[in-house]
Amino acid sequence: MSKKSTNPIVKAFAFMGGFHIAIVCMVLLLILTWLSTLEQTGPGGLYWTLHKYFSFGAITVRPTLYGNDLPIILPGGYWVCAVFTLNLLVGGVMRIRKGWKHAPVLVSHFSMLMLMIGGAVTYHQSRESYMLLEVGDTGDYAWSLTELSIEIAEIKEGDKQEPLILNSEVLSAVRGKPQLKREFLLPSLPFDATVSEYHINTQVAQVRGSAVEGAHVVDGYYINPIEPTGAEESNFSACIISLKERESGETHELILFEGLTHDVTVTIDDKIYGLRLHGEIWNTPFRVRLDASRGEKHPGTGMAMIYESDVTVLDEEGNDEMKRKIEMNKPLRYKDLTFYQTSWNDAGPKVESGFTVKTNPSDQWPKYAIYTCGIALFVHFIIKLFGFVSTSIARSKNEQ
Amino acid sequence: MSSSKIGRWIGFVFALAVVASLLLYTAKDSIISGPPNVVDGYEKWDPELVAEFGSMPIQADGRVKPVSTWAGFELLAINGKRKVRFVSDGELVTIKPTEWVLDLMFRDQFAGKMNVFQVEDDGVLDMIGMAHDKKKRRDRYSMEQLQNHLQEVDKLRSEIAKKPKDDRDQIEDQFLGLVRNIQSYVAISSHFTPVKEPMAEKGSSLSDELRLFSTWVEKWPQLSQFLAAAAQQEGGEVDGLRKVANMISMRVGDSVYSDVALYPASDLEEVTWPKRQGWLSEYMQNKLPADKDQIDYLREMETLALAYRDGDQKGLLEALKLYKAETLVKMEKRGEGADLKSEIIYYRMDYFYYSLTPFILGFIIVACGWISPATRWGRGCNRAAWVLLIIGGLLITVGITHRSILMGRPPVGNLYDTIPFITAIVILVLGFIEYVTKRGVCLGLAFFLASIGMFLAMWYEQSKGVDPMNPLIAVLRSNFWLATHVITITIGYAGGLLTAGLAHVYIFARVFKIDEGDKSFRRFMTRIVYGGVCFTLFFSLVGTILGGVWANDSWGRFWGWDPKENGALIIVLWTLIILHSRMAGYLREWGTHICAVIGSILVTFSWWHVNFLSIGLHNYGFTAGDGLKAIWAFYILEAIVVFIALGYAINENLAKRQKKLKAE
Repeated sequence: MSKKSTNPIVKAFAFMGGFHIAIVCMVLLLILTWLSTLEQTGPGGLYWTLHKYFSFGAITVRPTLYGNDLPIILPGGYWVCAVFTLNLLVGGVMRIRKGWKHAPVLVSHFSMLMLMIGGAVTYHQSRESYMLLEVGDTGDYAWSLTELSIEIAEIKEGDKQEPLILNSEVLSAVRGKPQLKREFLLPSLPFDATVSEYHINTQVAQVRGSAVEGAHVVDGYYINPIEPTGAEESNFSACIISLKERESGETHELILFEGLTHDVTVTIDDKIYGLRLHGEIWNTPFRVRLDASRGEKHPGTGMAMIYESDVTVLDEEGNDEMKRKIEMNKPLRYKDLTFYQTSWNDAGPKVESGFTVKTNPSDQWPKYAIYTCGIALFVHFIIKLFGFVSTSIARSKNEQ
Repeated sequence: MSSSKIGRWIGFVFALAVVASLLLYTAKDSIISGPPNVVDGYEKWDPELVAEFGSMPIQADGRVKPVSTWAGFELLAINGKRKVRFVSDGELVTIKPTEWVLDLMFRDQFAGKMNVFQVEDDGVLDMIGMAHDKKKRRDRYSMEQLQNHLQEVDKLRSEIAKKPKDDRDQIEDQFLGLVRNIQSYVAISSHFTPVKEPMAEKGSSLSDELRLFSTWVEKWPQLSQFLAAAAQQEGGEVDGLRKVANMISMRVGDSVYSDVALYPASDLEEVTWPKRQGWLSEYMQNKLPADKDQIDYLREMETLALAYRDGDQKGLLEALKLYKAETLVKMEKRGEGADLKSEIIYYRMDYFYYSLTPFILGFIIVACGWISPATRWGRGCNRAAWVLLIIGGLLITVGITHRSILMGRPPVGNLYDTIPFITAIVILVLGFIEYVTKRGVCLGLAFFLASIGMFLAMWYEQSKGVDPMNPLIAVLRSNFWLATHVITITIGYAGGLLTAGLAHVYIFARVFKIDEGDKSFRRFMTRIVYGGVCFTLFFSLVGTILGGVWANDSWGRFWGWDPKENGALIIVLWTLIILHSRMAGYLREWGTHICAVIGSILVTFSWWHVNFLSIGLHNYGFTAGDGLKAIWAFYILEAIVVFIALGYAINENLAKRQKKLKAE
């Protein structure tokens, strides 16, 4: 019998790669997956439920079922996955018995490890935005449907200058926490800004008669918060931004509302500044022109049958570089970006096509992982099956 | 009597009880309860006419299909079954969907008396103030009974429809279901309404051409001016014209509900066949221009309607043959309807329904064999059962293949498709294990699960009332992914269920002491359950990740935490937990089987339950209350099995410990 090591590092290593850690992680993941599935049906919807269960910041989770908080606290899904990945690396790849007999299991563990790491890379490194084009239009930017930023730009003779951006990351400290405020020092501008009362879903209402009790009225308008919907892209956020002139100390308050399609302006030191709360803009590294777009519905129904778009990728000089057709299930992959056909609308004078634009360094990892894992498991189980069949046949012959 | 024999008898009685309860369940909807539905004076349709009309092409739900298929699902949605039974002049009459549609279109006086509107809860009738004395809580009603309450129905409909879906209670949802059924009924019954009667009888002052309503429609721009001018004048002759104008107005008013597409569009590029709906009304009000297809369609329907009026069934049959011949030529040019005959054969063969006979019979024969398994009787029963299993399995396989050819896609694309497919996989895998091991265990289980599968398919089709061969949405129109991801994930479901079935056999054998303490049998059962878990893991894992790869190509994300994806992940995680726990020594025989039974709960959650959550991209919109009740009943049943097994396992463990202590 092999002697167990007393070295604490070896023991910790063995503990980390042990079956018990693997099983506990899988049970926790199963419970978290199940509870998050049920919680999605509630007011949080998919976006906020995922945020609650599987985001980096969710160290612990208090599940809610049908409006009631359950009397349990679970570890956050992200961290369970992290421990599970470590366990997979230590126990499933490094400490597992080696040899030809165990090769398929080793390969399948390795594939799963690749899948988990791919998931982490996607979580931290991928970026997703939306581009809407009319036939004939060329697009060079996309915007996020869920991550909002505040743009502050000087407007000179009607032209908007290069904006200063308060991105979603810095705004996350106050988003959805209307009781909090955050100050941003803006040395390139003659004022600093404080963002407060940042509600996720709102209506901006005009004061009629006397103001609503407790409402923060700005220029005759106030923010009326409403219950956020589960579909984050359909919420309309709003916040109050206070701009404090550094020299005079004078303060200007503005309401920024996501639903506005134009900038809100303010004059400071005889300069006009435009401010806007908007989906984070992403300038794509190349331009895309929508040449044609087709949509078909199953006859006599409103059910989509085909949505597809012919696009041309343009080079830096604006010359045609490549023509491609984007279809459902057949996206355009080019220079680290992927364009997916997402929406289609022919109600207006020109056909409109919407694309999800995404970059993800681990985009194809799951595909490679499933090919290797599928083959490895197939070989492993076929060997097992042969063993079972041959034993059973031998047993039948013995009985005869 | 030894405990094993008692166990076998319990098993036998249990088997019969299961079969009987399944038979009773399907029979309960077919039994006419309470006072019979009387439709006196009813004359049966000529079978040739029924066949001819049933094989006519119709465009519905995004595809061209035979009228018989369409009629079947229309009746199923309204009536909850594909037959209408009533008493006519003291005789019991049963009519099928095509005959019902013929009645609805041509003989509303009979159709209106037939109790076809299935109401799940009479609370729906209370809402509209309709009496339902001497009726059951769940019963059927005729259009004549509902007719006087339609105004109330309309008023309530607009009120309830305004409510958000989550705020509506079950009765209100059922009420909206009844409204949809009334609309479907009227959409068919009003199809011939404007053209059922000529504008004037023969010998009247109107020319033969003007006796046809379609002529008035065609020449409406000129005739309307003439009628408008006449309306300004006075006199006897003008009264006749006013009468005509009123007649037209009434016909047009009744015409707007028709929602039936029986006429292929003349333009070969136009994929949608014309439906009358509001066109006639708007055209007659000069809001829409003339549409040649609509006018021709109306004329053809008028020819059929007047042929029945003047020549009864014989006249209609002749006119129908002519119309059908013209339509088929037109469809050939359009490249449509090549599979119509094949589809009629498919529904006539009714593979899945007929497969129930060998499955139920096989189950009874296997159960008879359990009484004395190791004798000639037992072996004979097994041989007979094998033949029946092959027949049943072939029927399902042919049915799945036939459907697949008709749909032009891999066999699984919607929830209904999964049921026969899973059943076929269960038969195939259990048949294979039985062939290899010859233990007789898997044979009985195969029949049991196959019977449940086919009953489930019938129940689902009836409760949903929607043609499961309807086309798929854009994102699902990928034969590659349907053939890979959907098929593998469905095989994974089948694996989970059959593994749980095998675990039940182990648990029942131990609880009823049928195994007589045979340790080799127990080891064998544990090995095949372990194999089943591996099988489930392989297909669920590959299927789940392939689904992710597909989603990555469709929506740009590998994993979206969609309920259906999560369900599949739960199955994968559970099988991994079982396998790793076994390897770690945490699970032995009892533990493995108990976990396999819990696996069936998780498969059911993923396969069915998530569809009731009404969220996610895989949502099939299936929200019938009965379905959710059935799922919960299954959960409870399985939970009882788990607790019983746990009790036995703990008890056995304690007994072993005590024995060990005593020995020490």
